[in-house]
Amino acid sequence: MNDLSKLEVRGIRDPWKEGVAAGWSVIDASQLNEDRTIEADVAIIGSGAGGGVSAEILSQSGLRVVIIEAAKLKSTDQFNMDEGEAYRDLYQEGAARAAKDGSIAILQGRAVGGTTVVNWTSSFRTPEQTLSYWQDNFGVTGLSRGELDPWFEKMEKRLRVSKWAMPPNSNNNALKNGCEALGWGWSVIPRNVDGCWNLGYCGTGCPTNAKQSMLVTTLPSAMENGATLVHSAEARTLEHDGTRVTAVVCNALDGRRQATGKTVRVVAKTFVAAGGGINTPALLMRAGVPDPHERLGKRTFLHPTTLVLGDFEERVDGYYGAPQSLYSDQFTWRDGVDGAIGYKMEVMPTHPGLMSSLIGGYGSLARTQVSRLPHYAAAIAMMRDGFHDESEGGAVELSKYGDAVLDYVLNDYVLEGLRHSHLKMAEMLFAAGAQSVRAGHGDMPFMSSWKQVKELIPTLKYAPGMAGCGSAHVMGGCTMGADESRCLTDSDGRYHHLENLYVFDGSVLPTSLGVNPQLTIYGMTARNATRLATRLQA
Amino acid sequence: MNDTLALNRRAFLRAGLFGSALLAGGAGVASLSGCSAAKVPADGFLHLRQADIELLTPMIPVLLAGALPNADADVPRVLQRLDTLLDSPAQGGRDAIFQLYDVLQLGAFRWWTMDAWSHPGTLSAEQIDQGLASWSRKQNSFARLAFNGLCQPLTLAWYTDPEIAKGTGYPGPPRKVVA
Ligand SMILES: Cc1cc2nc3c(=O)[nH]c(=O)nc-3n(C[C@H](O)[C@H](O)[C@H](O)COP(=O)(O)OP(=O)(O)OC[C@H]3O[C@@H](n4cnc5c(N)ncnc54)[C@H](O)[C@@H]3O)c2cc1C
Ligand code: SF4
Repeated sequence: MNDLSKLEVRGIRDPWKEGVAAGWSVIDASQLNEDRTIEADVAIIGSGAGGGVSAEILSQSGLRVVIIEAAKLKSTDQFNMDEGEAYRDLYQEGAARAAKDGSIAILQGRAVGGTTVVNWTSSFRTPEQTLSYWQDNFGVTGLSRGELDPWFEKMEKRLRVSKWAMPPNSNNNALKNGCEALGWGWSVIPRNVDGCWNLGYCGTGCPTNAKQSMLVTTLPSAMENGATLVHSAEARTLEHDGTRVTAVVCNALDGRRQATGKTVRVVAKTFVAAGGGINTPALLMRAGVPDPHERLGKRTFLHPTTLVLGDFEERVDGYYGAPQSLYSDQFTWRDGVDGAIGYKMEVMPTHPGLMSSLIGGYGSLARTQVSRLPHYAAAIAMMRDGFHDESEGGAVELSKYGDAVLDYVLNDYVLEGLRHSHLKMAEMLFAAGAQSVRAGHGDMPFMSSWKQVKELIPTLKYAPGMAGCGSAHVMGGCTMGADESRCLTDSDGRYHHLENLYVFDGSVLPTSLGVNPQLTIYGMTARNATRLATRLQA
Repeated sequence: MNDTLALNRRAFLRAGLFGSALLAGGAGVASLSGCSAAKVPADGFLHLRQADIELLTPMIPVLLAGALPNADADVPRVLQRLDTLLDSPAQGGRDAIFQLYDVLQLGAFRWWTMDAWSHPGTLSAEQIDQGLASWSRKQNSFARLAFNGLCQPLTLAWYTDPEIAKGTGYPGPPRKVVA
């Protein structure tokens, strides 16, 4: 049995503790006793994949940068691998965010460093097919694979991306064994890690600084360049006159995420929205920015994700070890780029809080299933949404409190993919040697033969709330492209209807990707922030 | 409480946190349930109200059967952990879950979901178990979204307790030692 609970993680630096001691400009808005106004050349709203890369590049070119982050600063010393604390402190809505009808659980980060603090380190370049689709359908220019490759290469170097060289954990190995037995393709995942201890706690904040998240890479470098971080400050609105933005107004938040009543106003020449999908469109909606074709928040994509558990006789211990190290593209383009929905297959870690709630159900049956946790391999499939007329994604709305809500309906087009992926992942896990398998569907028990599963799944009802569905990849909502009737930013991320507002985060993606999104966002932001820096210096 | 009120199933339109279906006119439900102090959290809680506690207390030993090492004595700790979990969602998402708890105060809703008109406080564990079993099998999206809205937050709240987590066979995380 694999048991890391006796292991001690010690002797690790906390870059923020040291940085603050050395004089980094960090403002904890929760502590402010009065309203405050700060001036900057560039205000960056959000400190995740897009915000972090923007902050490094813009501060390097000598611009005065202020980074605004809603979350409270939490760093390495406090990353204790406790699941509940991590959900509360590092995830949007304490990991309880969901689509409006409750049918899709949405995991998204909320941290200094954004979702990169809790992501699972898989680092893929954007597929050529996806980039061509954007070019052909949205008039995206300058972002062909050939044009982006140098930016991917730059960010791969910056964030130490390389194919995982250690043996996969048993969870990932099940994917490989299943694929090999069936003659399906699989490959090794490139990860953004440096000196990874192979622990498996990427999702609760890496305790060793091995994960090259924004928290330990681009943000510290921006701070060294003189940037200011304002944390515990949620951007609520923008001051603008319909042509230019003049300020971003933030609520200071206390430890319970409640407004303290104090505000921080950042006056700047240029604004970068980098709050990520759902949150960036919601901010722009609250601010009432020009949106003549009512596109804000539309085409929000999720890579709707399904889960299948394989129960193995031996222990799998899927909570330990690099969470994602192998993948299969066997069905990613199963019906071409724009046919029936395709999906990428990977595995997910099996920490008990998240996994028991995904197992679902109640009472003694749920307990019996949860008690097999160490024996589960957990295969997931991420639906490539947005490439078909019947896949328009979700729409962001504002609740009566002004907070973001995503209305995403699992329609028949997507549901067909859920069912298809359940079948294929069940087949894969049996081929890998699972003694029984259960797909993430409320009406499915563990079954001990592929034949039984193959007969049952086509008879199940696939509808919201019945088939389990989640998302860890929020994309879109501020579509980029030349066609102004459908797009809100140009291919450089500049908002079509305001001169000095840029969107540098996952919300500009016109469709989902077919790969985990971080490297796409790093590469595109590196390109667009570099172009912006050049423009601002001219 | 006006138990005779018939609920229009098509009124279950919106939902939120974890799939808690709620009434389109959800704001009215608290008053329908007749609890004048419905909005006030119970003593020692940030969000859960006395009526929620009375509703959930008999259901928790059934919902988390096998997962409570100290049986009914663990229920207050489950409620505290649920209350803490409910502190993080945006207000709109939290409203949704409380609207679910509100409709669960209505006999008609319980009749539809759990085949039982009576308040869980008056039912035996076996009756609650049967009711949940029937609810969990309903071939109706709204019913199932609501069912998930009841179970999932409780499960997540409970299994993120490090001690309870170990009951799954998970040995626990490494120990972080800060210099
Ligand atoms: C559990 C999990 C695992 C994942 N694993 C992978 C993986 O292995 N590989 C991969 O490529 N991707 C992965 N992802 C997804 C990936 O990390 C994200 O897609 C990516 O980080 C998104 O970047 P972003 O810049 O759009 O936004 P984010 O990184 O989400 O950053 C946005 C930040 O802005 C802040 N913010 C939002 N609104 C405001 C506001 N109004 N005021 C102030 N601050 C605000 C947020 O709090 C947040 O910190 C994973 C995601 C999750 C949840
Ligand atoms: S697996 Fe590696 S990157 Fe992930 S938390 Fe552990 S040490 Fe950090």
